[in-house]
Amino acid sequence: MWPRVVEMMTAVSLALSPFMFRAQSDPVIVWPGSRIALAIALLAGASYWPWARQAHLSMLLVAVGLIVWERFVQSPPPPIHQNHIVVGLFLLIVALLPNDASQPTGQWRDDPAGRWSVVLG
Amino acid sequence: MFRWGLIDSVWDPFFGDGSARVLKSGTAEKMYGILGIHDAALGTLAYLGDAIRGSGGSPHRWQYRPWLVILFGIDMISLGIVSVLLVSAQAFLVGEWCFLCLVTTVIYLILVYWAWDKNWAWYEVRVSLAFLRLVWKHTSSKRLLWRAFWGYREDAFDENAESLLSREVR
Repeated sequence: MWPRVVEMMTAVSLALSPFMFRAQSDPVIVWPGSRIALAIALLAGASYWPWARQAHLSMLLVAVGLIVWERFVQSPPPPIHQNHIVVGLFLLIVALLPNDASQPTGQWRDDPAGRWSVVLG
Repeated sequence: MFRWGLIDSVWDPFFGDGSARVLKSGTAEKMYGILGIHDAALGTLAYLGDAIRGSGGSPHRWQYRPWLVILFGIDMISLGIVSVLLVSAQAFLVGEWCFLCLVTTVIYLILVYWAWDKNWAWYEVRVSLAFLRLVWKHTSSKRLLWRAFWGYREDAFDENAESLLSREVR
C-alpha cells in the first residue's frame, strides 16, 4: 500500500504549502488547497477498503482539475500555484500505481506453487 | 527552491553566478511562459517519477505488470532525451554552465547506463515486449494481448508463454 501512503504524505504537503510559500493569509489559496488535500487523503484512505480498492484512480481526475485550474487561474502562475501544478503532476504518476504495487497481481498470487513459479524461479 | 524564492542563492563551487544565470536565463523564462512551471521543477518531478515507477512492481513485473515496465521505459528514454537537450541548451543557447545541472545530468547518464545493462530496466522492457509479442503471435487475439498488457492471467497463453520464459530473450 505504499503508493497510498505516498499520496497521503503528498496531501499533507499540499495542505501545508501555503505556510511554506507565505500565503497563509490568503483564504482563496488556503481553503481550496485544504479541501483538495482532504479529498486526496480520503481517496487514498478509501483504497484500503476492499470495496473501494480502486478509489485512488479517482485521484487522476482531482489531479487533472488541480493542474488545469492552477495553470490558468493566474498567468504566469506564481510559486504557490506552480507548487500545486507540480503536486498535480506528481499525483498523476502515483495514483496510477495499484495498491499492491510491490507484489504480483492477485491472479498470479493465487498460484504460488504452480508451474509459473517453477519457470520463473 | 531558488526559482520559487524559498532560498536566496544557488550553491555553485565552480561557475560562480553561472547557475543563477542559467536558471534565470531568457530560455528558462520562455519555457516557464509556455509550461507554467519552471523547468527545474519539471526536472525534479521527472526524477521523482522515475524513482516511483522504478519502485513499483515485483521482481517479475515484466510479466505481471507489463504496462508499468513499458511506461517506465518510455519515461527513461524521454527523460534522457530532455536531459541531453537541456545541457545542450546551456552550452549553445545560454552560454553559461550550471554545476548542479551538470551533476544531475551525469547522475542521469549513469542511470541510463544501468538501464541499458542486462539486469535492469531496459532488459525488463525487452522481455515485456517479447512476452507480449509471443502472446500476440500464438493467440492473434487483441483481447488476450490487452489482458496480458494489464497483467491478467489467462490459460490460453500459459503454455506458449512458458516456452518463451524458459529461454533467453535476445
